[in-house]
Amino acid sequence: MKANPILKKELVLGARTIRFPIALMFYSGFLSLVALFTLSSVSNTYTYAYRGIDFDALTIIFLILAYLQMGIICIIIPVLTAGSIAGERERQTLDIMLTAPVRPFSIVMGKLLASLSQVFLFVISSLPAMSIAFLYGGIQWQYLMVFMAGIMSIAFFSGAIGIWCSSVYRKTIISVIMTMVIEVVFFVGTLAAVVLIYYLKMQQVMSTSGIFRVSKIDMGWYPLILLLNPAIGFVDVIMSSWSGIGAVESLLGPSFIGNIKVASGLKELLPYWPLMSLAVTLLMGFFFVRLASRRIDAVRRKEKHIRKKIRK
Amino acid sequence: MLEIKHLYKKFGSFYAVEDLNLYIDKGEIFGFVGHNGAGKTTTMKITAGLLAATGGSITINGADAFKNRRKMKRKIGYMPDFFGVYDNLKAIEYMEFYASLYGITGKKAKTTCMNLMELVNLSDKANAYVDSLSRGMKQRLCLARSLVHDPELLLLDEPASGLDPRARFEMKEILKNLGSMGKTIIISSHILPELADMCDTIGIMQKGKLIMHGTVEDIQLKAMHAKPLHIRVLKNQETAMRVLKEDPHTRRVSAREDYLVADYTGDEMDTARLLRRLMLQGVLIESFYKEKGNLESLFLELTSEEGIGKYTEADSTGETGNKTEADSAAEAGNKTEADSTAEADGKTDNGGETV
Repeated sequence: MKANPILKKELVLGARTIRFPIALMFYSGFLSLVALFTLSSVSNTYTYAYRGIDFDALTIIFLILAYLQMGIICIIIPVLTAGSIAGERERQTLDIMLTAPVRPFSIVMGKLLASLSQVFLFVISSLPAMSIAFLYGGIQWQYLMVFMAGIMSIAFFSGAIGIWCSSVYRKTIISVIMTMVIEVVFFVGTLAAVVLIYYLKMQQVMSTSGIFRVSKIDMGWYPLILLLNPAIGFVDVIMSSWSGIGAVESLLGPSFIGNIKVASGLKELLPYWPLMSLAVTLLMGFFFVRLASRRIDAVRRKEKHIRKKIRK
Repeated sequence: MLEIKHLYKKFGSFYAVEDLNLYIDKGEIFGFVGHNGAGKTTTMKITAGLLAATGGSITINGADAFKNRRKMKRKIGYMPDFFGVYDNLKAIEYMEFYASLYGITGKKAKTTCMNLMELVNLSDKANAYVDSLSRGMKQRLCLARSLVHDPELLLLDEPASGLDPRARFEMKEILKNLGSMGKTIIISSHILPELADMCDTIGIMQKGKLIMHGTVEDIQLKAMHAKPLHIRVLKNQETAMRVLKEDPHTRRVSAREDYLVADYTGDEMDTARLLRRLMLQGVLIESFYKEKGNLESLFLELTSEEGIGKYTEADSTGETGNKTEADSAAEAGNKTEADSTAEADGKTDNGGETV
């Protein structure tokens, strides 16, 4: 199998800049500090029965670092990807690349994979910090695998948005900002939409049954909107590997004692939420990759359109 | 080899290319000349597949270029009017990267790239970072890059722009060399004389239209014809004026004291016949010459507002009308009378060309 030439070139170029090693140093340095701080906090835990380290509490280091990394990656990835196509345009190398018979999809994937490889290095560099949680046991290797899969799927999704923005906007800075805006829409907007629906439904129920006789609020299929939220998917994946039950399932499933009711069909799907979420995140990522490829391939599409017009 | 038919490119309401028709034969070196914004780069970009045409067709070796773009891209090598380089790559890596875009990898890529770098005299710079190369070297590297897949058609957009005379000369030599290798080359420039000594044919573009197209010799001849005819008449100026007006190649005549200046579009034979007619009519001529035309002045004249109209009119009718300046004609009179014989042959003036 031939390596993607764009990926190869990007890796060479990436390895020759000082920016990346410095970013890597700060990233792992920061995570190590957080890990050590958490370790010292947890080590000084006093319980009624036992004075010393609460080993169960140590596992929290893993979760803190996992969620923290998710947040940092969501900020790093727009910076890594949003300049990829725009940068080629600024350097005026995109036109030259497009005169070659290389498919726009290959260009986009090459760029995205190069960014993902950098994210992968960030994640790998965090392993020593995360392994502090392994020192005292209680954490299995599979958690780490699940964490890696989850974080890389989020990186793929965010990176695809970044590449698409890069193909749309000519300036790198605008591209970075727009990538972050779209990320906020997916990461916060979808959650806010579900909360808003819940609030409106609750208002509706309260107006009909009175404030003291609130019956369960039927959210129907609306929670499916949360599938579009990769962050919730990530939390769900981590939680389900951790405790066997995902975050969404514990919130909406039969064990939940709150006043939310969901469609029975959705209830049956809840155990599969981590997988569904992962699949939706990857699909959305591919959707943005496709959009970016189409954007780059605008000339061919226009020519097709003109040929059709002429034929008519 | 390359056939462009009724090509149009519209940006909003502005036509960057308007009804362009062009045929370039295999192995031909074609020079595209025009001011900035004339439509040369747009035409090249459409041919290279970087811009979509608004209308028309382009065929390469009889195949529709718009229909099978990916296949066509293998036949075209494009060098834009900018460097387009990655500063952090070494020259050889830069070449190999583009080779890999055409599916050329491994040993073959290395050999091809080294051979091309030798062709453009950059073999000693193979391991130098692109950033460290001079402007001329970067231009040559870009040229080598456009040749990496051995294209049949080379599109070179202002390859010598911004180069010093030495680098310009080197670039010219390389292009001539490529021409001798049988490549079909289209070179754009806004300096006509620069192209004249390396191109077989030249097309002059102005405001999206091809206003002149022909071999370099044709254009040089036209350059000469586009210049005015100067006649110093010592006797019978009115007769001379009448003879000139009657000649179908005369477009305009003006008289200044004993000088007649005519816009005369006839060729060498027509000019010689005119001189004979004048002499037979008893016009006493002291000097008769055509201003020396050069490609630069022709280009400037053609691409000026007046020039377009002038050429288009002449070209569309095939002949020229007899336009005179009545006022000038009225001023014309017999100023001097001399015994000199009407022996005009062999006389030159102010670098003029003897007819």
